[in-house]
Formats: sequence, C-alpha cells, structure tokens
Amino acid sequence: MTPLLDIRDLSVSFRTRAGLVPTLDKVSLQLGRGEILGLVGESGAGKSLTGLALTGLLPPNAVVTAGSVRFDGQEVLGLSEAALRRIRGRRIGMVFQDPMTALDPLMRIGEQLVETIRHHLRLSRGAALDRAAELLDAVGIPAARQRLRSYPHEFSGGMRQRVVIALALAAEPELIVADEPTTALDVSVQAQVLELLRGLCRDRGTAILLVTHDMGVIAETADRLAVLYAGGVVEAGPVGPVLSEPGHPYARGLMRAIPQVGAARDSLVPIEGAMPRPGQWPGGCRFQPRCPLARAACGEPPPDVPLGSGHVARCQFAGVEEEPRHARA
Amino acid sequence: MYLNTIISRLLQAAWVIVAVSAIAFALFQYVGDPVSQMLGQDASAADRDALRRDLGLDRPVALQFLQFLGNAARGDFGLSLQQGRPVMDLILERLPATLELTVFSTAIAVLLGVPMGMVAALRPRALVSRAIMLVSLIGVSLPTFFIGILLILAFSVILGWLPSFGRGPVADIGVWRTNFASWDAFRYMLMPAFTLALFQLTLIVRLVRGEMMEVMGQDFIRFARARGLPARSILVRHALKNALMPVVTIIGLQLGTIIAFALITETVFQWPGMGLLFAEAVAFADIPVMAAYLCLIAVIFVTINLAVDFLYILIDPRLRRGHGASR
Repeated sequence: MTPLLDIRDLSVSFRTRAGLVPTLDKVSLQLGRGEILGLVGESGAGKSLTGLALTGLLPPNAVVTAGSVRFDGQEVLGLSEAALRRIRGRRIGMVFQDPMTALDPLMRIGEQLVETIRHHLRLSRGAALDRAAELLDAVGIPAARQRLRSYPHEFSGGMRQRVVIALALAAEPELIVADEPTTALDVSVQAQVLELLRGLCRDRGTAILLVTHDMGVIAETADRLAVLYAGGVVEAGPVGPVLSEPGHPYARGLMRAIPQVGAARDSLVPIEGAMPRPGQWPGGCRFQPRCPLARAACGEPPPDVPLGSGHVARCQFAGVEEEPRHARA
Repeated sequence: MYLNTIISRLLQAAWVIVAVSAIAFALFQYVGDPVSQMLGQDASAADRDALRRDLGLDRPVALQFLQFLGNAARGDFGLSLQQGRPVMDLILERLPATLELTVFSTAIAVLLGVPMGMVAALRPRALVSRAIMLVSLIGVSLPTFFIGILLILAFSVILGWLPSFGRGPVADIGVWRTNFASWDAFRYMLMPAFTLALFQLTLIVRLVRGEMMEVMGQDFIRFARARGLPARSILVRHALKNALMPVVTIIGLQLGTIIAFALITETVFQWPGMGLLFAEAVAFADIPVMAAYLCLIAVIFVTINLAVDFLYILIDPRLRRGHGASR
C-alpha cells in the first residue's frame, strides 16, 4: 500500500547574500493513514521547514532544490498556488506552535471557523455554524454554541490551541501537521492536547506529523519517529525500539538528556557543543565534531544502517555490539 | 463596565477645552485695552469707568473668565471688531466651506492612500510601489503652499482647466452652502482639496504600508494561509482590518489638524472658510474672532479625539477587556 505521505530526498536551501545555503538535505519520511509520526530535533534542525514544505508555505527566500513530496500519490512540489490552496486546510491541516498568535484577534472564533468551513465545504451559513459548534465540541470546548461568539483573547492558551485544532479539522483533512503544538502550553494542558490529537487519530483515521523537540511528547504520542539533525534524518523507526535502543550517537545523547522524575540530578548528560548551523556543516557525518565515537572514517558520508523492523540509523557504528572505547583521535 | 473610562475621557476633554478657553480669554487681557479702543483717546475718566462697569471689566479676572465661558458655551463670542457682526454668525457662515474642503480631501486621502499603501506593502519591489513611495516622499517634504502654487501654475495658468481661487457658483441647501451641487462648483474644490489631501495621503500610505508589512508577517496570517483561505479574503478580512487600527487613529487626529491647518490652503486658493477668516482676523487684530476660532478648533479636536477612542473600543474587542474581567 502506498503511504499517505511520501517524502523522498527533500532538499531545501535558503537564498542568502552568500548564495544558496542548504538547510534540508535529502530528507525522506513516510507516513501512513491514521499514523502519528514524530519528527524530533533541536531548533534549527529543519523540522518546521519540512512541515511547511508539504503545503508550499516555505518562506519566500527558501527554495526546494531536489526531491519529491507525494501526498496520496500526487506530487505536491511545483503545484500552482491555486492547486496548493485546494490541499491546504482541505486535505492537510496545520497546527502552529503559538496559539496566542495563530488566531485573528479581531474576529469571533465562530466567524473564523465558518469562514474556513464554507471555503472548503460549500455549506450554507447555518449549516456551517452547526458544524463549527460540533467541531468546538469535538475538541473539548464546553458550551461550544455560546463560545462561537467569543473572541480569541477570551480563551486560555490551552483552549485557544483547541480552537486552532478545530480550525485545522474544519474540512476533515487526512493529514494534520502539528508544529510544536504543546510547546507554548502549561504541562498539565499539554497532556490534554496530546490526548486530543491521539483521539482524533484513533477516531477519524487522521494521520499526524508531530513536529517537536520534546522526546517526552513523542514517547507518549507517536507511533514512529524520525530524528532530524542538521538538516538530515539520522535515525528513524518505531518509537519503542528507537527510544530503547537508539543506534545513532546523537539519538543516544538525546535519550540521556531527557530528565526523569526521581532520577539523580547528575544522570542528565548534556550533549557537548552545538549543532552546526546551515552553511557551516562539516563534510561527511554532520554530528562528528560532537561525537564521542568520531574517527577518520566519519569524514565520509555515513551509511543508513538497518537495525530491524524498520529501524534505521545513519551511523557506521550503528548496531555494532561493543561501543569502540577510544576517544576522538 | 467601561463606563468609568468613558466618564474619565469626557472629564479630560472638558479640561482641555477649559484650558484652551483660558488662553483665548487671555488674548483679550494682553492685546490692548478694549475701553480705550472703543472710546478713543479723548474720553473722560468718568466715561471710561462707566463703560468699564457696563462691560463688567471692573470685576475680578476669575469672574470675567467664568462669564466668558458662559457666553462661549452659548455661542456668544461678541462682535467682530473688523465687521461689527456677531462672531458666531461669521464663523457659522464659513464653517460649511471648511468642512466640505476637509472632509472631501480626507476622503481622497483615504480612498487613494489605503490601496496605495497596500500595494507598496505587498509588492515592495515593483515599479508601482517605488513610484508610490517617491510621491509620498515628495508629499512629506514639500510645503503645502508650494504644492498649491504648483497646481495653480499647472492647471490654471498653463492648462487653463481649473479655476484658481474662490468657491465658484455654490448652491444653498437650507443654511448650508455647498460645492457638491453642480460640477461647475465642484471643479473649484478639486485643487484645494488635492493640495490639502496630499499630506494626509502620504501619511496614510506610509502608515498602511508599514502596518501591512508587519501584519503580513504575523502568525495568524500564516495560519489563515495554512487553512487554505483565498489570498483576497486573507488580505481584506484579516490583514487590512488588523492593519487599519493605528491608521484610524492617525486619520482621526489628522482630520482635526487638517481643519485647523486648512488655513494655508484656504489662503493660497482664497477659499472662504474658517481658516481664511482667521488669517484675516490676525491681520486686523480682530481678537473676538481669533478667540472664537481658537475655542472652536479645541472643541473639534477634542470631539474627534473622543470619537477615535470610542471607535477603537468598537473595532478591537480586546479593549473591551474591562467588561470581560468583571464577569
């Protein structure tokens, strides 16, 4: 069966005064219907860019230099603005990070919902209002009917993110790209919003591309995950194996950097150094300057090593039983 | 409720008007002695004292001021020294000319300025946008009277298309004397109105451009695009509405300024409005007219300011927060 979303070798560069600066390098991801794929990485790794590229919402100075994005079998890259608009909102919904700024402050949320619904579904105003109320109800907003008349500032952050999700759901898209949907929310509210997303996935068969820097969020929500480092996927696979036996030294570092309740304070191990910015990528493996395992061979492009059941790590040492003990040369 | 806000705004407004009236009143105190002006140099001291008593000028200054305020509130600013007619009649006669000129020029500025600003914001590199920004630069930097004279030179002297001064064949509708009744009279208003509009126009263009550029970069515009909304509805329903908030303020405040400073335009085009009346009054040291003009402008300014404040509350639901918090 072909996946709902099939990204192959997607490469994106930014036009700058110094010429084209590669920012995404041959990213490949697959996402099936009703599946939740977590996309993790530090800020600047290219997570959000990947999400925006799907619907042609890249910033004006970004260009896709190579690759393909197939959505339900159809190539999305290079589509006209009009064709993209038929996909945006209708078939791919988006949820952004900050619910405080994603809604038009001067428009009642009912109006924003109706506007979106009527644009996609050709309903009468009355029918669209009914649907708007159903949507608010579905995302867990109490007294949905009355709340249609509220303005965004009359909602709390968590409630606003629910409104944003309702807007993304307005036309029952097959895929939702959720870019850091819980980062701006209180921890207690985070869990509710994640539960909501998971429920949608279960009940409506909506696939979700969950972009986040938070491993905890992935562990709780995603079916599969891909780890992005400096514009490339360094590890991908089902959540269980990747979290328990990460094959890439960067992914292992990420696991050790997750705080655990009850664990000793010094069990948190930060990864030394910083991720190289676009334009400053080293040749070969881009993690080698920070890698405890780095050797001369890491100057060559690293291979994708399969570790079984769809788990792949982009490191020549992946799957090697004993970690080589010698420090960097 | 926001009743408190409304009341405090009204009180502030009242204070401003009283303060300006005090300045207008002070004009009488400092510019010559009205008694010697009225009786001449040769009058006896007894005559002077009698007139002084009749006019109430022997009473304490504070009382005199209160009386001035009371009269002003009833629209009584006394007689014009130059024309010997009630000042209020003179002003009311001239009011329609100034109002028509300023409102029409503001309409021009808004109707041209908003779309021009939007184009300049959305296509910053296009040739049209560069042309718009050049025109707006000229608009801010050239003084109004100079633009007026240039227009007269071009359209009256060289081309001979438009009349260069006066209101032309106006029509009377009730007490209102208007230029809008016929094309023939309307022609007279074109050049003064454009002259007056140019400064506002450039201001609006720059403001709309700046605000639009900022709003277009905001998250909710990105989100509106991600919802698949068509470009036109994003621009008008979401971007423009949000960008117009500060523009409303400026247009409102400008309307007041424009009414006051229509003076220059009215002088250049000999437009018989309040500004021209004031300019003539200054030349003749016609204190009652000057004082009345001052008070009237203050009232207009303050009224427009209040209107803008309340319009804000109407447009932006977030400013009604006092309402929401009390629930």
